[in-house]
Amino acid sequence: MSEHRIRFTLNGEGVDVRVPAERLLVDLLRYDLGKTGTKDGCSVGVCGLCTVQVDDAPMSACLLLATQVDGASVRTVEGLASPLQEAFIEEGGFQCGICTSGQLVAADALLRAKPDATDAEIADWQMGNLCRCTGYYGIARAIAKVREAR
Amino acid sequence: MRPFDYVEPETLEEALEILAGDPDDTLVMAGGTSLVILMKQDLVRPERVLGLRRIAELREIGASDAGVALGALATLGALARSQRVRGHAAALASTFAAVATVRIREQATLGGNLAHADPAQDPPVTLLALDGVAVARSRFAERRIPLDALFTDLFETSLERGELLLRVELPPLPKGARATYKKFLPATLDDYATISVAAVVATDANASVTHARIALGGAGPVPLRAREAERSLAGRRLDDAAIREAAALAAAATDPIEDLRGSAAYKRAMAEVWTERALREVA
Amino acid sequence: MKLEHRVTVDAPRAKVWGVLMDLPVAARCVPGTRDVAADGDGVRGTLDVRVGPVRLALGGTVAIESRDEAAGTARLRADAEDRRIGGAVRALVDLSVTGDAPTELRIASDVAILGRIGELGQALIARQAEKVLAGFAECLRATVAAR
Repeated sequence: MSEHRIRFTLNGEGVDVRVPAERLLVDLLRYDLGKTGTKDGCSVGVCGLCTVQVDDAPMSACLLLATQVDGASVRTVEGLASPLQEAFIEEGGFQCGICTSGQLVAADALLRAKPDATDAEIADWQMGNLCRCTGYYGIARAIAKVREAR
Repeated sequence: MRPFDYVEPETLEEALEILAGDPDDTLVMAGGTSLVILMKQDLVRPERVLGLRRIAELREIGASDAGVALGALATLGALARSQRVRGHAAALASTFAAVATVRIREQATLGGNLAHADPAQDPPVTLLALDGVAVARSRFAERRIPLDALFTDLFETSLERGELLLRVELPPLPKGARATYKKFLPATLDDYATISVAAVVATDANASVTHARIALGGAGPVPLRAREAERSLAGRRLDDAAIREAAALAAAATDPIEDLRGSAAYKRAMAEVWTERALREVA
Repeated sequence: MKLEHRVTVDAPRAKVWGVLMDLPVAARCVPGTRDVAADGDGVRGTLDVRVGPVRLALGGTVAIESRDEAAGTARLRADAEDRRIGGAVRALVDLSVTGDAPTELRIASDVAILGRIGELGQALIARQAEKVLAGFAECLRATVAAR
């Protein structure tokens, strides 16, 4: 019923759009802004497929109204330029790829917040990003590899 | 999702004014983690959603001689990382850190958590054991609500129409007090505890208990204090017998709701086991 | 979901039975009901229930499926739906009265939750149902006492 003008940065670039109040961030990103890297999995914030960074903090885009990022800086997988991406390839951190965007965005947020994250901290942080294919070992190795390289 | 009117006032006064104008058809949104799901499922259909995110004063985490004050809009993640929270009780910081996933913790808030009033949530349990008091305000009045009077039933609080939670205040702990929070999560189905226990204990020079608080989550329609168990410890040493007795009393005080996390009998049995473990840890 | 409730009424059994079998009167004793009207041998109306932040408006009917006055037993069938949320509630309620001033009323319900309402979770629904039953029993007692 209400419409709102929102302004935020997306992967470093300014965005200025009008959205209805009920627009979810995940839908804004995927359908209005063409950033389909972020996926909508469970729609209730549990699976992690929709992980984005809002002011460097990992959040579920499926649980955020677009209006909630007004004034914020948002980062999606398209905006990552991270050694994590190569490491995931090298260490077998994905198979089908559906969880990969979320895994990368979450891991990137972790290493920004805690460059020296321990294996236990990595596991605790990534716990919210579910994967049906890899068994998580490749993902954990990839993140640890990047941590070691710093 | 069904359309609604969204308002984001800049000040607390404005928010209270808006809420007073139409308390029945306005839903308040803090982080939104619970509300957005309810709206997506079409289980709630607000005419208006009042977003609190611009009210910076509600985010503050402060400390004084009178204890700590945790703003209603502070995220669970910020609370978990806060030195002030950790300084008050490490167990409180770890309680916030125990909630769900990092993403939820970055979005969900203390006020939203309390107002949602799910008895299996983590923060209320430890906050109860720390004698937390909620401060709520409406357009005309401010109220102090001890946490054990805030939760009235499953998903129900004693907050009145038009009232907003401002903060939770925690009084200073007795010198030398030890605190712990134990979350029993046998199946990670939804990350809510089957049973959780927070215990805070202080003893004197003779190792006799001078202060005891035991709170349980997942043990009934509301997070509860096991007062009889607490009383049983007064003036005693925390030896095996005292701990066992208190644990049994705590279990007897529960009225668990049967669900996918466990039968009522199982939860009651686990309440005893985990109260015992919590007390051993703070002994 | 099976629920049971008992209440003792300080009134003759015949009086209690009389109120119970007068559906329009008995239905108004269910807390949260409105727009109650006779519907053939039964009754129709709407039950407003709040479950946390969720508000349900269950519109439907209650009918007497069978009764045995001598034995003091009866079976009611309730069917209600919340069209907005998309869900329904069906219940078979077995009533039995025993004793005579005081009279004990036993209400045993078998409730099925269908559709979206089920998303609220068994625990929550059972709790609200218990509250409704308890409210009904109390109101019934008061109604009988007032006659």
